[in-house]
Parts: sequence; C-alpha cells; structure tokens
Amino acid sequence: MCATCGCGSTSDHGHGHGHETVTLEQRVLAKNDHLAGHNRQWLAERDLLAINLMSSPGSGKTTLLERTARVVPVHVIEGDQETLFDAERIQATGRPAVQINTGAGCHLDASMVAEALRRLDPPVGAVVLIENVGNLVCPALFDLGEHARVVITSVTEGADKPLKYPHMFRTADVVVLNKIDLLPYVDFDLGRFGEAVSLVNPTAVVLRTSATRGDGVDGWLEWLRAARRDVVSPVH
Amino acid sequence: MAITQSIVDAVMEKIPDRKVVGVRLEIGLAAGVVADSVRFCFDLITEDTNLAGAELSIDEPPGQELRIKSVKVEVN
Repeated sequence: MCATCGCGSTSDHGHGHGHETVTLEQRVLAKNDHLAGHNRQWLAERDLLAINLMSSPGSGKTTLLERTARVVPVHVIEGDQETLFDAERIQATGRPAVQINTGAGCHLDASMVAEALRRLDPPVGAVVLIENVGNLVCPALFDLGEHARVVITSVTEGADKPLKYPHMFRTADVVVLNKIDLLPYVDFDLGRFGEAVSLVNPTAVVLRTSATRGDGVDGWLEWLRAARRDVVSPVH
Repeated sequence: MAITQSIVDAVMEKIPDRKVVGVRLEIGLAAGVVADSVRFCFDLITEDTNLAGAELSIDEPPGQELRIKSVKVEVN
C-alpha cells in the first residue's frame, strides 16, 4: 500500500488519484530554434547574409536601413505589430521589402521569418536585413537563423540601457549608438555608455551614427560589407 | 508573454486532448525570463484550453535553461 495516498499501487504514481506525470524535458524554445536552424540552412544554400536588427521603438533602425538601402543592394524584412509603413519606406528607396505584422506579438520568430524569406525570395549572394519589432526585451530570446545581431540604441535613451537590458545587449555582435547629432542637447555620458557596453558585452563592435545626418554611417556600411565578405557559403 | 505562449503551445502540441493539471518548468536565473511574469501570463493564456487551471511549478536554478520538465495529466 502506498504510504502517501493509501492506494494499492506499488509503482511510482502521482498521489492525486487519476493523475499521471509525463516527462517532457523539452526546451521551451526548441521549436523556434529548430525552425531557426532550417532558416540558417536555407540562407546558406543561397549564400545569403542575414542580419537581425533590434532596438527600442524609435531608435532609428528604419532610418539607418533607408540610408543603407540607398547604397547597398539589400533585401529587407520588416517587423511591426501593425502597418506597412516601414516596408513602404524601404520600397521607396527602390529596394525590395516585405512586411510582417505580428498583431499583438512583441517579437519576430523563426517561423515568421521563414515565410518572409520565401516571399522576399532574395537572389544568391544577397544581403538580407531583418528589422525586428521595436522592443529591447523579447526579440533577444528568439533565434531567427541570422548570422549576426545588431542592437541599436540612441542618445535620447540614456547611457544606462545596456545595464538595464543586459540580455539584449549581451546578444549583440554590433551595438550602434544612433542620433549622435543630438549629443549637445541631451545628458548622455559617452564614457558611461562605453563602460556599460563593455561590462555586459566586451567583444561587441560599437559604432556611433547619425542616421539622419549621415555621420558614422560609413563605419556601419564598412562593417556590413566585411560581414558579407566573411560569410562564406559551403557551396563556394 | 511570448515565452509563456511558447510554453503553452509546446505542451498543447505534446498533450492535445487530455486535461493538464500541472506543468513543471525550469527557468534558469540567467535565462532572461521572469518566473512571476510567466505565472501571470500562464493563467491568461490557458483559459479555455485543456491547460486551464493547471498548477505551475517553477524551478529556478543557476544558468540559462528554459525547459518544460514534465506535465501532470488527468488519467481517464
């Protein structure tokens, strides 16, 4: 007799009668990561470079992408809860862009990107830029199959953000500090910001830009071109 | 919310038709997920599903693991 619940069973059993424990041992993000792996392979088969751009809303992701699209033949996936505004802005530069609307969703995931990649259908050897939903929290958790992550923050957001959102900043290959043209008008401690980034992510490349004015954009384009050169497809 | 939705989706995919009365999770302290937020969202998301009313047990060891350990189901 089971000493815990008094039943006749001698095997391991849940003590609320009629309950059975099913072991799953499944990573919560297993499904997304599996799809991200598929995306990675899809991209490799076509020798495509994919970059995941993340930031708070309004940091300047789309403006930086517009600048980029005018000089580099990029193919863009835009993510927002609603509207086609950002895809339209990219399309106005003459470059292809598809929009994902997540509705209530706060981040892009691998399955959304898989579908968008098929719609976008970029040619072999292209550069794919994925603008994630504006959010410094959730997107960090979801692998999209990208080669690199770029986290954009701006001088109007405060120098402490890398410390307050370590999961996001830790995941970055590049940290872009945007809106540097506004430095004279805001209290932004560049030294403190640099220290904060070093603390959470000592190996991140840090760039300073003004996407509206153009300052520092050459540095960003240089990084992007180097990334395109460095990603070697197994086909070649 | 996003993570909780992923948890619920994963459980419902594995256990689509039996009543789930408990879910045991492991949320590492460095995983970037707040256990209390998961608890809050869980009740909202599971309303009207076979997980409604399920008890959430969350282990919070060091590390970054984010895992569904096991699920307790009703046996008919």
